[in-house]
Amino acid sequence: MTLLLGLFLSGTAAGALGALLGLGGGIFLVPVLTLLFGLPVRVAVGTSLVCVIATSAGVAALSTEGTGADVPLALRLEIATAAGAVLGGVVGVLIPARVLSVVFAAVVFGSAGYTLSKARGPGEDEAMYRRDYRPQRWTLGYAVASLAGMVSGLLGVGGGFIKVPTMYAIMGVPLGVATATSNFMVGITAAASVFVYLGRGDVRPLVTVATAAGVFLGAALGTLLQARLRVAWLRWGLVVLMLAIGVQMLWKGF
Amino acid sequence: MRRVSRGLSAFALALMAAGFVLALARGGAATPLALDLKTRPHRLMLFGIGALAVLPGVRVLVALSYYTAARRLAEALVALVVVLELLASMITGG
Repeated sequence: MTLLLGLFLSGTAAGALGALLGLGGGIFLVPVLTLLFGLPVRVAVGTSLVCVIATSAGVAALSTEGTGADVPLALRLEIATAAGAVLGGVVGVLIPARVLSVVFAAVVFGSAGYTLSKARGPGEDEAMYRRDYRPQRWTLGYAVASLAGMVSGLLGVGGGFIKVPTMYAIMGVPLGVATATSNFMVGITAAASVFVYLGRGDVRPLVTVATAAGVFLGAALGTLLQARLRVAWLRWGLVVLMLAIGVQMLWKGF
Repeated sequence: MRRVSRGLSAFALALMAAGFVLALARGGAATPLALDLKTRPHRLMLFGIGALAVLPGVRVLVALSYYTAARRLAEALVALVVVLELLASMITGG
């Protein structure tokens, strides 16, 4: 029972962070499920994939008018992400894992720096949700979305930590729209893989439901909280997370 | 699309919750990693998980039907490609 309660609380934290930062939560959940709760890796990944979909579903269900995903943008970028995932499957075999880790770390650090460069001067306000924007730099956006797909395929995560800064810092999408759009996208990415894990019996009902229930609650809390937070705080939260992931990738590379 | 997300999420959650409560009532907490398709609680939970798993695809299908009805053909084509990619991934195993 303690295990199930612990999973619920971990799911709540992952869902809240995922909703706030536009992530699926897999980047937190897989290490927590394996290292803290001792779940087998395949069960942890299967559980995490279901929870990524739960985060995506929770954010979508609770978003209000004007705070939802930019669906046309999400679908266009998702094509690039899927192509990147296929390429990742090929490249992952040809290039040593250490080299890939270092390359991805460089991309993540670069994204973090670019996101920070979006910071405005004191006194300047930035809207979380605007609808009068036009996504820019599509070529670069597609290229980085493909890279996010490669990372997703190789690391077993949704890639939201690359997708959000891509849309926000590179393509000029407001941060609130970028996080909601990323949540939409990571749900699709996870759905592409989850049936494999279901078919193999790697999704264990009790642990998955306990974690997913926490994720739904966390996503609800995160969605409500986001409306009350300033863009600068979320931007810093995203940058800190990206730096932590980049350091972890570098560590794996060396 | 928000209605679809809410409806299907609520349905999935209800199934998962019903299965979870039944499993706990039958002492399932002692074997949290168990997977037994012969028992109703596990079947209920897995059915709920399955309903949740199809939600992203359903959302894209809703987008596809909306764009088709609105004659936004470029966006409809993009949505169709994503649906096909998703189906291909599910069939070929990710």
